[in-house]
Amino acid sequence: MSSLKFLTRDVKIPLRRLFAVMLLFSNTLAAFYIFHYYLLDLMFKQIGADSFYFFVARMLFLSLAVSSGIIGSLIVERVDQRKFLWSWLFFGLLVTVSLVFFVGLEFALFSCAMLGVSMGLGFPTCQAFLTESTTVEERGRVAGIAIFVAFAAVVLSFVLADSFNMGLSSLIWAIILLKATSFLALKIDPCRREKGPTLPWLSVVVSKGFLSFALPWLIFHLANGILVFGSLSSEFANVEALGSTVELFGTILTVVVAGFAADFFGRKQPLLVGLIMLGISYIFFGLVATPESYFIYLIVEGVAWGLIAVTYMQVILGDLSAASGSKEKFFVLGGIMIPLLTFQIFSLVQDWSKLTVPASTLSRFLSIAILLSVVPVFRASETLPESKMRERKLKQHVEKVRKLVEESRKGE
Amino acid sequence: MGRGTTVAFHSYKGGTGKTTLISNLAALYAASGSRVCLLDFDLYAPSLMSYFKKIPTAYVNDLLNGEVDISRILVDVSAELELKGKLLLGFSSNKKEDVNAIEIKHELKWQLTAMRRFLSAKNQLFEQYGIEHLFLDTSPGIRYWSINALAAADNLFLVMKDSDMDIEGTMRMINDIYDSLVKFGSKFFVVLNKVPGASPIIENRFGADDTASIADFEKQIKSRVVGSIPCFCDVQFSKHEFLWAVKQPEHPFSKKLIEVAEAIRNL
Repeated sequence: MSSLKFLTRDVKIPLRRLFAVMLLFSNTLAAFYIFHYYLLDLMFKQIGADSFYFFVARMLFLSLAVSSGIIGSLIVERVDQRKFLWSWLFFGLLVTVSLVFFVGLEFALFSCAMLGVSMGLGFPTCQAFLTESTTVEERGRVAGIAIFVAFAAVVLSFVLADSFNMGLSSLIWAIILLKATSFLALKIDPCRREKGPTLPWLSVVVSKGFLSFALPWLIFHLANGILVFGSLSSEFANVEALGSTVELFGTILTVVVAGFAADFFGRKQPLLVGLIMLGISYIFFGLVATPESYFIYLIVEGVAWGLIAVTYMQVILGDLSAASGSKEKFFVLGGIMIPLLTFQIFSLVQDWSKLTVPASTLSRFLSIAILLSVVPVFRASETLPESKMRERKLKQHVEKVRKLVEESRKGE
Repeated sequence: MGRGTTVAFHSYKGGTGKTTLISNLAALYAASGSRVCLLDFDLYAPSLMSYFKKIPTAYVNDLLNGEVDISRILVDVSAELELKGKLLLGFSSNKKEDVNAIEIKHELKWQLTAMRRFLSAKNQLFEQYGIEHLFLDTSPGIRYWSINALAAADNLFLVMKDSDMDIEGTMRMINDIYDSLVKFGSKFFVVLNKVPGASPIIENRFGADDTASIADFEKQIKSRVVGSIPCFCDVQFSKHEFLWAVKQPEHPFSKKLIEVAEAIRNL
């Protein structure tokens, strides 16, 4: 076991704080994932509503998540964080509980809108909470584990829902449970923040570090959107269901590795590996466009998504915003606006965007964009400070040298 | 013959008097009849050679490079210093190219190979030469070869001045490296050097308030202070202080050093 001690090197976060981070961050991420990717679809299928209403509901959810994210980040700069989290958790729980008691299309649309508001208002603050709870040396690992816990909660919810054969209501109860237990975070931790200097939106956007990392993240989402909405899902619908499950598992297994890699090797490495992997998988798929290669592409995409999402969405944005009193603005811009708006745009245009270009040709072109997106990452400054990496390297050196000394003593 | 002890003298900054102290202590031990070896591990800025005014045929650098055996680098000064015991010295090269070579050799593979050579030489010193006390004079700050020398030692002595700058830097160094070394069983102690108070200026109590008591200091630095040596102007500004502890044993500086030597021996 002692050989695995290096995994917890420089971990300073107290256990209570870590637990509070899990309860706030992981639970919120899990609730979002269950709702956006599964519950929403199930709700509208159960109502028997037209696909148009499902589309409207999703649009409401996404647009209100983005706009309330902007509003939430402004509010939290001015109010006590603990009070903000209390109100936000209470609001989210109330909206979710109402799903159990009210039915009907109008209410489903209304609750989608309210859940979008809830998600946008509070999730950036949960991300900011993870950032301020961690030092730069441990942020990657804590983020990786927190995201892993969120995905594990998602999988567990599905397994339980499947076991009890409760379908929609079990997923609603799973979200209620996640939101209710989030209150415990406020019980075990003060969840208060030192107010730091606030930044206007423009300063966040134009800051060099932000743009250098946001650009490949945007390209990643655009490429994925063009390929998936543009042609892929229609061409390979038969492997889509199984492929998506495998993709999810690829992501789940990678998030922890990504977090550890971000702490041990720096933030840029897992990001670059993720982007290069994705670029190569696009080329591969571009050359051999078969259901099998699509399946492989989905696995690689899952792994790449795990590497990129953890490193960018939580670790790099956390590093860039750590000293600022406007952490939420970084998370809203990078973590909410870019992925949700691109998803929204592609959902909006998906009917006319069904391209006549074959997926393989599209994939070859997109691989160029993905591979080019590594350039700004190469040029960007590492957000894990060089001094911390040097310090860690020296500590590792001490351990290696001490082992030699011990061996030499034993040999006497 | 039992295995001897290895002590390393280290500091956060240069100019703390580390080389003067370690040379005097090594000579004191040898004068009392012990078999002592003093190696210059300040590979980045060697000074032992000019302190002892010797030019060896081979250096510690050559030993680390695997070019020579330990026997080639040792210089025996016991007879000329009329010491009861033995004092063997090993110098590191002050040639520009040798210092530069050490500066750029950061790759782990070389570091570990060189370290193995040193450890083997260390065993030879204990077994073949019967060395009882091996003293290592290290480079100030956190550098690969100061870490290597510290890692090879049983007891580490941090030589420092009682100044805010030195205390702050030393505390950082303790957090960065010493804590890791302690985890592996090394012990570290502090030797305060050049402490204000020995010069007549103390009669006016000038600066007396700034001198923290040893107990407060130990609490602050979380380590035991094994010696507090006042700043003696005649030592500090002597053109070439050379082993006062054995040459001028009645000097207050020498007396203080004898106390420190005794404290170290009793650790």
